[in-house]
Amino acid sequence: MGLRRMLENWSDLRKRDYYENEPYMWGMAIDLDKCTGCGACVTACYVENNLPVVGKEKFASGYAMHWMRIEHYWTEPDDSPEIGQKEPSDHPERGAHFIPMMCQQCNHAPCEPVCPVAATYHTPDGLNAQVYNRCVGSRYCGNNCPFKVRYFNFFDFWKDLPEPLEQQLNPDLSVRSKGIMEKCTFCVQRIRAGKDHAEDEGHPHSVEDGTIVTACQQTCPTQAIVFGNLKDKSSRVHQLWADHQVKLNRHEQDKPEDVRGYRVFEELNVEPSVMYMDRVRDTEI
Amino acid sequence: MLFKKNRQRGPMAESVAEWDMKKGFLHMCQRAGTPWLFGLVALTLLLAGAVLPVTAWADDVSTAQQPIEFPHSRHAGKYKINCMYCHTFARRSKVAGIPPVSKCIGCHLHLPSVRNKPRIKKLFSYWEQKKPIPWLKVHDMPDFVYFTHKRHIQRFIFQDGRPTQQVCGMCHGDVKTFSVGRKVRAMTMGWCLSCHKQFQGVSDIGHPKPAKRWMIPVAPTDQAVMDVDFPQLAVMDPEHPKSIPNSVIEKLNRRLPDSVKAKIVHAPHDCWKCHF
Repeated sequence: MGLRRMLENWSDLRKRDYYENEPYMWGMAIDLDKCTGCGACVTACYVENNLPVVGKEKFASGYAMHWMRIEHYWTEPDDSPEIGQKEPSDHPERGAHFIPMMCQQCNHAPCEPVCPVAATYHTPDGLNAQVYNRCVGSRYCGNNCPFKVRYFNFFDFWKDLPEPLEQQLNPDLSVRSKGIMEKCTFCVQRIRAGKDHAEDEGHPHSVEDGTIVTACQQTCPTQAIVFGNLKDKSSRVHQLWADHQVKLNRHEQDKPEDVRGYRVFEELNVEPSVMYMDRVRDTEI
Repeated sequence: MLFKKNRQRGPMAESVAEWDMKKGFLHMCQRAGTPWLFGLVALTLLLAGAVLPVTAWADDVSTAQQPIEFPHSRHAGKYKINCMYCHTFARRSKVAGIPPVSKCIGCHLHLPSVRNKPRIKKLFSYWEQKKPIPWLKVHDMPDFVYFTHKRHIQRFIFQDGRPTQQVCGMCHGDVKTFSVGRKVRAMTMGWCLSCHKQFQGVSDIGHPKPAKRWMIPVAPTDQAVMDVDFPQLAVMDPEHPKSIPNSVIEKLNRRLPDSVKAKIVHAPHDCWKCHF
């Protein structure tokens, strides 16, 4: 940036939030109380985003390509056995937590500054972009991700598709080849299509809330996932964030404990765009 | 004497002679003082490497045999059929669309004068077999490129009210003169950006603006509408998020020849506008 340009745009550059005037910032809210861990969102993601099904052996070797995964956490208060059991079980029936974990679209993303070719960067609408045709596959970003939600193509998975199955690939986004890092995009192809639709209707800078639906949100049988524009005060996701008093630009939320909202690894100050609502356990009532 | 020499060398004669040749080559290089010959070979290879990708963009499929040599010149030229009569999806979709066989038959059933021509016979054989015509794709964008016909058609034809053939000709050339469809523009990123230029003055992040040149009417010709007879380079903008220092980028840009430098367009901030 030239000095002249810097001086001309001084007030813009000094702003705390460079993208303050952008009309969009995409965000998500996931209610873990509604989540049953059924995995429909994962399946939907596979279908929507051309994810390869790697098979048992490759999954075990860590080559799985699930942009979204259901994490299980087994907790049992004070190692007590289940009702009717004598010994505490490894997988107690009442103790499972499920967290759908995908790219948190961090606003201070640790993956972005380490990319040697700027293949991952932050878009003005608050997404953590991954540009496949720029990626050289250094895997630095994946190693720097605290959520471990970046997946590397070690193989040309699409070549393994038997004859008619290549027809089921989604034409709206790339089929990734070997040597490329990929991750959840918040269904950017649907976001682009939604904006395109808004432009047809004559309001290109305001997409109506609810017109853009991510694949996981669309499939969730309990409607635990809410996606939308955080800058739109009337959007459902903004209201949920406000109700649960989760705010941007902080690494610790000053809110009462009975409010359920939280962001994963908030203390790392990575500013995730995904807010989770904690599960209320029946044992706690 | 030669025979004698060979006999002295015995059964390994051939391979030794080969080795001698190699040695001679090495000697020649050494005599020159520097291994300049190796340098020359390396340079040739490098140049070949540089030229190959340049020729790769000009993937002209006109040499490939289409199932039926569809004459655009007759349909769009002589009979002035609107492009969007057959390419129906252009106004409302990302892709322009290839018409189904039924669309061809819809007219040709009522045109008995050309019914016995070989191309039309072939067309009807597809119709009777109930098979789609396996056209070859002429303009095949890479998988990672998001391009939508709709936005361009809506803007230039329906909003600006330009003639259809002129608008389509901006990218596809003067199709109404083509006997077989072919690609006349190198559809590179720099070529897209020559219209969607950003950073004309104040930074307008994420909002590609059409350049002013589109505001003046352009005649559809086979000649390039813009001066883009070689793939334009899309270089990194100095403001683009990156890990290379600005000075390095500027140095790289400065090294380019003037003819190239004049055509450089800066890549916009937001790669995800078009690549996902």
